[in-house]
Amino acid sequence: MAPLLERPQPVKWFVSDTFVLFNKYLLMTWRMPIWTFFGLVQPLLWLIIFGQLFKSLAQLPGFPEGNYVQFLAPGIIVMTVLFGSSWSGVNLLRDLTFGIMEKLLVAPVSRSSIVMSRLLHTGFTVVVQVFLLVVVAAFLGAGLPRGGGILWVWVAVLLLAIGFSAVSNALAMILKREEPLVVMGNMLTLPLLFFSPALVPIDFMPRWMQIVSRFNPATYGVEAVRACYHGVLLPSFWMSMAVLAFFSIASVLFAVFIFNQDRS
Amino acid sequence: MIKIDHLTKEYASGRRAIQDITFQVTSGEIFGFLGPNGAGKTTTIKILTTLLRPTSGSAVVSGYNVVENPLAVRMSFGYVGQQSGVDPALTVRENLLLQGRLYHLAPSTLRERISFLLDLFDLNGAADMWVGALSGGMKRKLDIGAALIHQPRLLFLDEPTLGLDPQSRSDLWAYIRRLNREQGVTLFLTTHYLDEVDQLASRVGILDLGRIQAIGTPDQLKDSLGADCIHLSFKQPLSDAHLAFFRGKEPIKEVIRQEDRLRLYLQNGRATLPKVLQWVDEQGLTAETVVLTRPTFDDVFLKYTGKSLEKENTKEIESSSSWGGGWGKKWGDQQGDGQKEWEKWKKEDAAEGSSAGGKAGAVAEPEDTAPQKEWPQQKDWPKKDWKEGEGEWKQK
Repeated sequence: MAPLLERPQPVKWFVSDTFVLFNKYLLMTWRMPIWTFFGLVQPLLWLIIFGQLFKSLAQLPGFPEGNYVQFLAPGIIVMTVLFGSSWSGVNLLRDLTFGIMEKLLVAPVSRSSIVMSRLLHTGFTVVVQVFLLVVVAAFLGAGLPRGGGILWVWVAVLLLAIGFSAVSNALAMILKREEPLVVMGNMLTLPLLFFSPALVPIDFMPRWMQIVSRFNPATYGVEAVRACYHGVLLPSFWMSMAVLAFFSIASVLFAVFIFNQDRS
Repeated sequence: MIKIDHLTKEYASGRRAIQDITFQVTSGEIFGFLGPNGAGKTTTIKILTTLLRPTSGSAVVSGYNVVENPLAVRMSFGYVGQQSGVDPALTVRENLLLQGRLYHLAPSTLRERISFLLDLFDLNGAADMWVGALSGGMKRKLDIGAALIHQPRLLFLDEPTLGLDPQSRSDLWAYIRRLNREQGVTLFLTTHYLDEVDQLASRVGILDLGRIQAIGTPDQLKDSLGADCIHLSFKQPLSDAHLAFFRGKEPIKEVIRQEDRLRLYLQNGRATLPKVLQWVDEQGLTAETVVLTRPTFDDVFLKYTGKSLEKENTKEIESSSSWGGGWGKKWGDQQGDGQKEWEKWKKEDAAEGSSAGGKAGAVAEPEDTAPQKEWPQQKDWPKKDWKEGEGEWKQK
């Protein structure tokens, strides 16, 4: 064996591999920051157009907020997370087609760190996007998260982004092709959005949609972010955060499992 | 260096990619792994590089079992896949840095290795260029350099010169030879190009239908056919009876038929040639062309895989009447229709076989179904003439 190599150290390698790969993705994003902004165009359009279109919704009796943009902003934040995360898997396919993934897999790189670095990178990108979105939304009249909420927004967004991008990466590894992945991404993100209180208060939904929305991680994301905007962290907020944490961990384990399995 | 024992791989779909393969690659050699599409070359290499698990049998690489100790195996070899594997969005140096970090090299060692590899592959001038901006040949050199970052004693090259122009190909061959001679790296090379194997390999394994059909040095394999080869083409269509007649004749060791052409393999072809022509007359045939050559590697390949190719790719062989001729010519020149034909097949193979598809591979020349010429003449054409000739054909 070549003398240059050290003995296997699983834990140390997991950390250093994750760090090295995360840095690489970060460097690429840094060089092409345009994509980060590009991902914001659609959410901003929604925020502006939807905000205008459903303006009078806020006048309905029982509407929880004073104005619709204020209500919509947390929903659009979650939407940004969904869109951003669903692209993560598509980027994985790029690595697959260029043979970059193959090259990683024949190296003594920790499998889990290949997944983790991607998820952390998506999480990081989405956090940056959400930061920009929060600023713009504030100018549009949505206000800012209050009190401790300003920190918890990032935590909620990060958990949701890691969870969804784990699903997206796992799907990419299973499907191995771009077209079905993009189609599935589109097919999943919009219903996830509609079956959540992102655009309409949950009480306005038909009963069956309310029930479905309880199984939707995006619902808890929207509720958590909304609570952050209110700055009042009730037990229901902590409940939402717990659900998000659970979703995130379960998805990561699923993605790690898929990556480790891919050898048959 | 590599020890493969009764290796079999059956995919979930039930397709048996390789069946009961047994062979060894010893330290210091360049082993050429040759075979038509779907023969199982890529499957074998994926098992050896721990990307796939074998269904049964065992494979030991650098002294470690690929199933039991994949991590030790991974640290012991370098791998250059069909797709590039280096990131086009990073520079040459960044790619090497990344690769070295993934092999957990100490920073000082890594710096030394990078400057050594940049020197070795004459990439110093391109060190800070984007990989996306490199030429195909340079990119390939970087691929190999990146695979050598941890100084492995064993290097897998999966179709290393696919899609390169002739100049870059022979350049790359020189680097590969130097690696083997000066650095003592053992090479395991798969390819579709017969000339590549003949130029580089110290030993060759021919794989077809998932089985090893022949193994030996290029000369041994050629000698197994006999000292000489007589190529005959006829005005009349050939029948099976004709074929049987030639097969039955005494000094002829092997007969290969391609439509209305025959290749007869025998000892002492010069002395036998008049007799052969006599037999042709006796059979009521008229020979159109007669050429006497030494058996080349394409003869060997035809012998061991020809039958299956005829069965599977009848269409291609019919459509490309110079199938054999292409090889013959390429033999002399390193480039030709046959090669492009292979590339086309190879791409199809990659598309159906590999997970990622063949997108990032070579750029095909789909319009290039170059006009066919009489094969015996091409064979004797010197390099320069032939290139001019190609121009002519294209104009036609």
